[in-house]
Amino acid sequence: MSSDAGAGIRLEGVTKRYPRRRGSAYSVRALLFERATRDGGTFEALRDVTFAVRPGTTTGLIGGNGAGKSTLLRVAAGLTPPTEGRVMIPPDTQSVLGLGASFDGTLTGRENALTALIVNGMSRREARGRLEDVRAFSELESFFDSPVRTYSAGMGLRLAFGVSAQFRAAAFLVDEVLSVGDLAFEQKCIDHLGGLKRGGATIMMASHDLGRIEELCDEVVWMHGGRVHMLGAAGEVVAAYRDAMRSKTLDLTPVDGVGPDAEGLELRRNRFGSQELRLERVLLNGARDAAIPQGGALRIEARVAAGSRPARAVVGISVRPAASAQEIVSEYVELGTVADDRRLALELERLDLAPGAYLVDIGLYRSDWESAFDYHWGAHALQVDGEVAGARLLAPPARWSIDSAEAEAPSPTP
Amino acid sequence: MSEAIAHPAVRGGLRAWLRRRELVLHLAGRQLSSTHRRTALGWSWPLLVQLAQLAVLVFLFGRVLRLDIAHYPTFVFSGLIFWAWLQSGVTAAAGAVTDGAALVREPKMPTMVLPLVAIAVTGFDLLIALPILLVMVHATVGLTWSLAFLPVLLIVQAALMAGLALLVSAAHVHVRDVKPLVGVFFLIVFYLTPVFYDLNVVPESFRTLYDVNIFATLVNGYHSVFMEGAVPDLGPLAIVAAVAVVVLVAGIAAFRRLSPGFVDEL
Repeated sequence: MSSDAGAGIRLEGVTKRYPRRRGSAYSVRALLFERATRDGGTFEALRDVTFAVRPGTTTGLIGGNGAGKSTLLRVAAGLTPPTEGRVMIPPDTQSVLGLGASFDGTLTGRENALTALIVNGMSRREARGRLEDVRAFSELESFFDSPVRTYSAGMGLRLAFGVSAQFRAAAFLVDEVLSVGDLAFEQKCIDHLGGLKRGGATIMMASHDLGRIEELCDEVVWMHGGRVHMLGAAGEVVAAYRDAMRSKTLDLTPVDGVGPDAEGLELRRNRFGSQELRLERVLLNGARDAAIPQGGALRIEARVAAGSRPARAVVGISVRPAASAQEIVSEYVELGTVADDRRLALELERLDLAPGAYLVDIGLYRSDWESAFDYHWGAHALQVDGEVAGARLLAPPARWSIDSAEAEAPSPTP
Repeated sequence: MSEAIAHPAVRGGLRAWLRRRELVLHLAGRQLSSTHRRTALGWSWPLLVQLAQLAVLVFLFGRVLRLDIAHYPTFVFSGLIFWAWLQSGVTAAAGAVTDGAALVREPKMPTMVLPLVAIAVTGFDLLIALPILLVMVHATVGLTWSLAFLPVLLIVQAALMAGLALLVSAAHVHVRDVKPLVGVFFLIVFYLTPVFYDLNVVPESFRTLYDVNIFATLVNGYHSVFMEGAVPDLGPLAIVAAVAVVVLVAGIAAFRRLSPGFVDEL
């Protein structure tokens, strides 16, 4: 790994192969019969990946699970060497890869943070002085002094972000961290990324959250099967990816020709997906459709009906104007493996949407986002009541104040 | 000279080294405090283990199977505490990388620090035992100027241990039989090293075994510094020092070669 790329990141013909092992290879027996155990060949996690992230820009990585996004970030971070090819990255690169995988579960958040700060180049004295900043950023409060094994995934992520926020990085690598179901902290992370970006940092991030990727990235790399499938301006690539997901989902949607059910849902009209897992009883503030005042709260709840086989799934909910496909709100949460029915709810504390007609889309996707199990598209109407506000989308609480400038501005002394 | 230091590569190297020193000290401190955190006897545990071992050896070979070595407890202790450092240090180092898996996943972690920390941590146990040895020596044969040679022995041993630690810790990541093998190795070599007996009692026909045992040369060195008030036999010691340098260089080279793949193996 060399560091002559200015402050940009460059990958040239990067290939990463892992030996395909059978069972335990960590013994003398395996070593002696290595040829026999390894004739399963190799597994190519990345194949001939070439692209550059220009200095000061943000590139997003999208693609299903196993597409190579995480491997790509690990190779770029220098955590594991590429089998072939070269990676050029600034030496002061910070990475948040995996949810605190580099923390020791038996030690407290404070102890782990201290170690991480020192590993990243601080002296012990300097690191000790920064601990309160880490604590403040991570908002872990009293958990900061609890063992990390008691943390949720979101708390591990807070700690990792809190540590990396203490460094001025020329480049920043982030792997799928916006999915821990902690919306307030997610916003904080996004603000932090925005700050880094304004400071001229080069950012490479992987996420399943297409809305966020579109919002934060200049360019997007769509990974598929370890290769670069498509590369270009964020909007273009994300749109192409969405189209691919949609058509895959449409192909999987059964044809049953029965009209709308009691909930007003009809396959291939406003309901798509394989239906292996299903979303039922989707309610907005307790009813199928909802009307809220401008700035009102919205609670969206649903029941996830398990299928005949357990499956890993994610739920995504978005809000868009009735006449448009542009999502205004987009949130998702990973459910893990769904074996039994679940109930879930998303609370939006206040929706400062301009008055008008909106639609709430809710989807239950495979955990790799490649297709939907059940996607209710435009099946739930949301009416926002208030004074008519023209063509704008948002109507946050606003107040003007106009005072005399004399009290504030010091007049020049003669 | 000042020009050389101003050169960015040299300065970077020096800074990197300083950072590693901060890291070694931090990790060693962290491990020390976590090891004894929840024990009633805390810091004194490693010392108690060594004293118990001493008591057994003194009972067996001072009373039951009499070896007739003058000031036998002091004699045994003056070899035992250094042997304990060697054995516990290299054994702990063998698992240092695999046990430190979390740290290995930190992109900026210089993994080479991990086995070295194991040696530093076990060195702390030696540091606690050393004053007791000095008191024992003072009360029996008396302290002499030959003690000035102790740092030389310690440096040779540290270099040898560092080399072995790097070799076994890197190998253990790929073949998990290494750590138990290291345990068995030291178990056997303890009896083949004159820690609790004197080389004089070894029949002439077995002497070659002791000549090639570099650990025996080291322990003999400690015995002569503390018990005989004499500078050790420099010829054999020079060979051990040369071996230590070779092992260290080999250890660094092997570790450098193997460490990029650690993350994939953990």
